[in-house]
Amino acid sequence: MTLLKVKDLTVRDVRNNEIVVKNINFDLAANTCLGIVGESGSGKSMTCKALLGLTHPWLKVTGQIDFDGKNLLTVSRETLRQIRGQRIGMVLQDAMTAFDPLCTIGDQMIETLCEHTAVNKKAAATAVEEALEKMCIREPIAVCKKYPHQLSGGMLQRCMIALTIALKPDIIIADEPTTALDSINQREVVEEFQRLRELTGTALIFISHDLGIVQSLAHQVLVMRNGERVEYGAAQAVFQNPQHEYTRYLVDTRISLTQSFRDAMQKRCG
Amino acid sequence: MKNYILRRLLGIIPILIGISFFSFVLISISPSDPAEVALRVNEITPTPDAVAAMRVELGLDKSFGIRYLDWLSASLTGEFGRSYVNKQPVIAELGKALPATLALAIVSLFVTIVASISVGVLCAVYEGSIGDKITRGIVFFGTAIPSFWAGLLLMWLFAVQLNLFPTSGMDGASSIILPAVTLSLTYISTYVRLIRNNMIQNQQENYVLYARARGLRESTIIKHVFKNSLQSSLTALGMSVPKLIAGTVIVENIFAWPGIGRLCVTAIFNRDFPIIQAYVLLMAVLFVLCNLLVDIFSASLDPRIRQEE
Amino acid sequence: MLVWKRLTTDKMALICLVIIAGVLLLGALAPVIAPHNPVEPNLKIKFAAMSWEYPLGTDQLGRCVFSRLLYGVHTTVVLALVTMGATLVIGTLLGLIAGFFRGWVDEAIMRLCDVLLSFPSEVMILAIVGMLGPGLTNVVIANIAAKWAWYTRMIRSLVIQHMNRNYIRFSRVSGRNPGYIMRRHLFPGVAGDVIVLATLDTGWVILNISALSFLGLGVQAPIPEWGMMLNEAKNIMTTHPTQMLAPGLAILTVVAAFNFLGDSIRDALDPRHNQQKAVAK
Repeated sequence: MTLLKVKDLTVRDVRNNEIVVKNINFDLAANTCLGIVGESGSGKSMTCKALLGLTHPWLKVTGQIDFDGKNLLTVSRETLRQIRGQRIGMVLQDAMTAFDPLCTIGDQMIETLCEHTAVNKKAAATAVEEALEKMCIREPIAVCKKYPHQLSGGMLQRCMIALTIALKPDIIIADEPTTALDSINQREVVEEFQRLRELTGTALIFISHDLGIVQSLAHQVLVMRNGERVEYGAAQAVFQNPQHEYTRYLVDTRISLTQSFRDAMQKRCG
Repeated sequence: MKNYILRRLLGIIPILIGISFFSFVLISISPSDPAEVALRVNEITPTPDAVAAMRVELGLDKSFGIRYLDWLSASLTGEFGRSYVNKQPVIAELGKALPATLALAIVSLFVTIVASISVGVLCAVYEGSIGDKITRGIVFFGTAIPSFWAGLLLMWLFAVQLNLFPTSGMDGASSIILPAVTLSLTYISTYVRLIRNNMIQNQQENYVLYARARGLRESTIIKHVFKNSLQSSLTALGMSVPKLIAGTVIVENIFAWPGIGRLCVTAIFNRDFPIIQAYVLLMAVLFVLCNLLVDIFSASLDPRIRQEE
Repeated sequence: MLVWKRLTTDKMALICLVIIAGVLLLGALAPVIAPHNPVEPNLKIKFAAMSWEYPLGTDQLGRCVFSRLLYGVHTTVVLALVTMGATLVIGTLLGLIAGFFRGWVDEAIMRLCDVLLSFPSEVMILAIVGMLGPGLTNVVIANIAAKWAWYTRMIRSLVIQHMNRNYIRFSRVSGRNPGYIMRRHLFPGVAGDVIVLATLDTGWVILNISALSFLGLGVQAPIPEWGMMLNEAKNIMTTHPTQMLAPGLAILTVVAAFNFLGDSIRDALDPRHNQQKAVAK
């Protein structure tokens, strides 16, 4: 069953008529993960922001985004707002600056839950604690009372994921959720996503420039470059038998990198 | 937080000493001999004998250091000497005029805060709209308009033509409105601009993007943006309190408002040094204390400073 | 020079420049183009309406308002420029010295600045005028005294930023004397920012000078000055309110032009800010 269908998505900068994202097409089926890869500036982030109408006012988005029988580009702002968070959740790249520095994490999470679900504050607080516990956060009540600057980037990232899960959306969009983290936290966060998929079966759009992570998560892969679709297909096929020169280049570089890393490690250990 | 307050309190001590020294030195830079001035304002011919007697009376025969210490210890007990003109204690003169100035400043501050926050927030929310553009035009001229001219125009329109308010003096509650509005005009322009720009800058922040991404209402987002931008605007607003009180000088003179600004200008014409000196000292101390309070208050809003160990 | 280029493409900035230059020129040429003697009373024609002979009419003493405005530029604008000039010289010198030599010299200058900056500038000006007595020179002195500390502090921090750059380090290592480094490297480095601030402040100084004259503490009668003219107009407000218009509008225009020009220069110096503005439009 197709949850989300994107047709000819184009983003144009009205200030200088530059095309930032050009004719992107993809489908997202229920209980699958779509990986979007590409170098920075390839338009992968912009594509996802465009899905939820989060682009700057000077960017004009055209095409068609079908979700739940509606075209997200033509629905009212209020409908779109209700879809954001509740139906399509989003995890952002820079967790350190994603929360209001003057409010506690708990307050911000409770506020979001109250906005979307008809629960009172107390019930929302319990839901937040449960969600944090699911993310393996040991003292959820203590974390709730902290301000963003008192928590680490990895912790904030987990709070963000917990909040997204608590809203039980149909789709989660994760925009480079691991980029700002160190490698240990990176692995943990990826594992959270894996578990999240296994537990809930939520469809996931995972954006990254890290091929390894995408390979371990995604069923489908969309490769982007300069705002255009370079390759799109099943993950297995794309990684093992890349059709486009650019994808081949990406995959080969990665193999040679890991190969040389492996060689180096063997030399040291052996 | 305690440490922060303590550190700030200790920090102002040298500044207070500097201020008192400067206020004291002021008299010494005057080209005229205070003793001679004190005699002249009372229409006594300053014969050498009279001047010498007056010097002893004013304590001017002592050395500079001793005079400063005497003056400082007297000032600490609120003893600023007596006016050369009417021989009243300076503290009593200031005390008589201060309530009028404070009333004027408080009403102006209230007008300023209400007007600039509401207009500033509206402009930021409807950024780029016609209303925003018109407001920006008005605000721009508001910062350039001399307050004495604005005051005269308001007085002519509302007091002379429409006869809604008294032209001058302190006569009933309505008489405070024109001076207060005149005084706040400049500040409103400045703060509308400040709050608007702060809000717009904050709207570019990542936390706003995430707030949108998780589907918060625009009204909720504006609240977050407002709280964040208020913090930086607050510092500026607090700094304007003593500036407001200092700014009353012009307005009080236009509207014949019996406050300390008018007292000071009259003292300048009369060469009544003790009053000028006390006025300067009072203003500077007020300025320093207000800054301190604003800093502490805005620090208490910021969890990053509040929870500092 | 890039800044200049950007500035000339900004229409509003050009208009402001033209206004300021025009006002200065009118002031300088006042003795030639003023139709009448600005201080000579002629009670027979007091409160005359606008006419070819008296373009803006006459005041309560029958003096030509237009001529008084022109001569007023002399007093107001020229005094403001003198004040800013002196403030800049003092501020730059002390700022350079404090930032270059650091140590106790810096400490002494900065502590003095701290104390001066703890007075609101309006109070500082009143204090000095109060002690020296009302009058034109004293107003200028008071304005300089109230403002130089701001400049010293700003220039010092700019100098310190520059001192940590490699070209200055190289110059110092290669044994150039301090005077040379200050003149050739530091001064051009900080001049740009200082000019912006000075432009913005010129409007502020004009307001101050005319405010003091309005209170009767500045320029003394019968010298024509815009603030003074407003003060005289105040007394005849009920009978002849139009007397308030000309000097008030004159102050407003010049101050607005200076403020706007300052904003434009800041935009020109900071292209990033400029782009944001384009977006906002």
